[in-house]
Amino acid sequence: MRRFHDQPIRSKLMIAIVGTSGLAVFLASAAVMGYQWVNARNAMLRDLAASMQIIAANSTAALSFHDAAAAEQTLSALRAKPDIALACIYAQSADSQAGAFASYHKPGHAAPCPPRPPADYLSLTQSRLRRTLPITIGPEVIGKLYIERSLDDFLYSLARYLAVLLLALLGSIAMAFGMSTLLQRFIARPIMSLAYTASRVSESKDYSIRAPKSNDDEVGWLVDSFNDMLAQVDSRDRALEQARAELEARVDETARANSELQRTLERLRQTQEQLVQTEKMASLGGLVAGIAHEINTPIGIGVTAASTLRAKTDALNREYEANSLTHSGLKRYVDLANQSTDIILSNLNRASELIQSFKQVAVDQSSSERRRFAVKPYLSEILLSLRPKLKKTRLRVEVHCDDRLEINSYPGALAQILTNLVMNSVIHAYDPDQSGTLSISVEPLGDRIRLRYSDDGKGMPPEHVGRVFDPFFTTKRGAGGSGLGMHIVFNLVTQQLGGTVTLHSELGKGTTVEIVMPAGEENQHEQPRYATEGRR
Amino acid sequence: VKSQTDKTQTGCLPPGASWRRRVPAALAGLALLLSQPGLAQSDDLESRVKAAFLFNFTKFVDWPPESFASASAPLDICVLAGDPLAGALDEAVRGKSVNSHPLNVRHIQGSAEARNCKLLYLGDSGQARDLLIALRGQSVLTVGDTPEFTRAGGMIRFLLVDGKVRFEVNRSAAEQARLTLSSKLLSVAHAVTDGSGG
Repeated sequence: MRRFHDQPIRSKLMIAIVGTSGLAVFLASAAVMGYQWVNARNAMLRDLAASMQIIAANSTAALSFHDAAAAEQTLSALRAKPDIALACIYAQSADSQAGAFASYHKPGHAAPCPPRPPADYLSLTQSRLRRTLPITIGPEVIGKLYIERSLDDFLYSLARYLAVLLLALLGSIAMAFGMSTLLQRFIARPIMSLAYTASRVSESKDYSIRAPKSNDDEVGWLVDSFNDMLAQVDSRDRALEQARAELEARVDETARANSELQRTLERLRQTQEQLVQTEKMASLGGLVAGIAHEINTPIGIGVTAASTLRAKTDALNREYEANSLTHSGLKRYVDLANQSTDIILSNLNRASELIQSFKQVAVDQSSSERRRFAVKPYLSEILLSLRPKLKKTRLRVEVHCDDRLEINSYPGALAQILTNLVMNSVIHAYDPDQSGTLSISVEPLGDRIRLRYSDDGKGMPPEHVGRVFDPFFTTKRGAGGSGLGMHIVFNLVTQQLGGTVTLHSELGKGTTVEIVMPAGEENQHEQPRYATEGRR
Repeated sequence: VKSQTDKTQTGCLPPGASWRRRVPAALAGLALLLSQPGLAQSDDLESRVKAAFLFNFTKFVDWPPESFASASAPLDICVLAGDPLAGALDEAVRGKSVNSHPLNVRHIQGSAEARNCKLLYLGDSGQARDLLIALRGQSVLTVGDTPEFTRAGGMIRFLLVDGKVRFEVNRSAAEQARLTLSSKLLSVAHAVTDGSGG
């Protein structure tokens, strides 16, 4: 059987009403029954006592004068009381064997009088009430009256009473049953309808359904609250749906913006690459200009010497045609020719040397070949290519490096890094005509080398230090800065050389860039990776 | 009737201890009776029953209150000296009292002593008639054995019915003596007569 808690309300209601009324009627019945029982019993006892008193009083004379017939005559009055089964009068004599003095039997009742009156004053056993009453005259006891009364009538009337009560109980339960059925229409049915609506809502997820309201009681309020709640859920649902749609639209928009951004980024990257390339070309162009400028001097001297020699040779030839060539004139010419050819030769040699040295730097700068090279001579060659720029300034360059130090790395990258650093110092760190010292020191650091570049220029404010490696960050955009120099330095160091770069700078205290990179001696096998990445 | 009775009572004072002289004779008679077994047995039982009845009569009879000197004055039951019932009567009433009147048995010789009796048992005495006449108007319950006792003005007469002691009552005699007989007593009486008697 299910627990009471889990019973449907209909059953609970039924149990409550039927149980309550049944219990009430039962308790009332039990109380009335008990009261009736006590009452009837007392009435019966009183009645019996009265009868016995009368008989006892009426039989005093018979007892006194040994008139058994008279006593029996008196007792025979009990015929009017059909419940008295047996009545016996005993004389108060010493003779215990005497037996009853007079007796009365209800017709059909055969039980004899007990030989002696029972000692009990009153006994109520099974279906017999037994009672003994002394017969007295004044204070003197002259005999005893003993009566056995059948309780059949008493029990019968009680049983009848009980039957009536049971009938009333059944009737009231039936009434309660009917009432509860009727009440369900007003209590259980609205609740069940509400429950049905609730389950329909939760099944269909349709929050526009409303529970019907039948009465304006607590259940009615419940229905109202439920409907209110549904309305709130409904409106919230709609708001949520709207918000979701909005969000979706926004997500789409974002996705579109994102892809646009992606495309823009791609374009930017391409542009950046182009710019880097352009910058490389520009520095190459600067290099070429420097080379041309350097070579221009010996070539110009050679041209002057060659044209002087030509003019002297023409003059010698005219003198020879005119037979005016003198011995001394020839001698002067030969001296001049010797001098000129010496000048031409030495200047051409000088130009050849220059071209030879520049060729290597130019090749390195435009390629990303890895090779083994001595650091100090290569630094000198790079600085040589920067001479045209440095010549216009009052800057001095110091190089501290072991002559024998060799590394296996990318000389082009190193050249470009150093060029950019020097050019940055020239452009940003010093005012025109300000003197200063650029210092480059290289030292081995286990299987790595450390290159420290420093100037003693103006330095940078902290907010610039943090952004100095960002692409397109420049303080001189209008003055020809591309903002890519240090970015290129960062990329070359971290990607091509596989090292790290740090920059320390304070206003008025110059700038120091420290590059730590593998010396490359043990890392030959890693070359292809650098080679492929170096293209960028 | 009342004033007459009072006069009679005051006129006949009991003669003191005259009955005491009769006691030895009564005892001798009793002894004589007891010495004859068969007869004595039956007579003895009858005597005891009659003695008990005499005692019981006092319970069912109301004397006029003024006939007692006080509320606790003794109630005298008188028997003729020498009557065979005397012994049984002594035994039956010894130490008893009725309505707070202690019972007292007196053995009397004649009517002179009978005036103060409340109950007088005359037995089958020949002088019954004289005594009844002498006590007329007195509140004395008279009991006797002779068949004509009630007709002669006696109030209660013993008789044997089927071997049992019964009694008949002369109600008018009792009424004349201003005695109230209980209806209960009348209900157990063998017969109730209203004869006025001699």
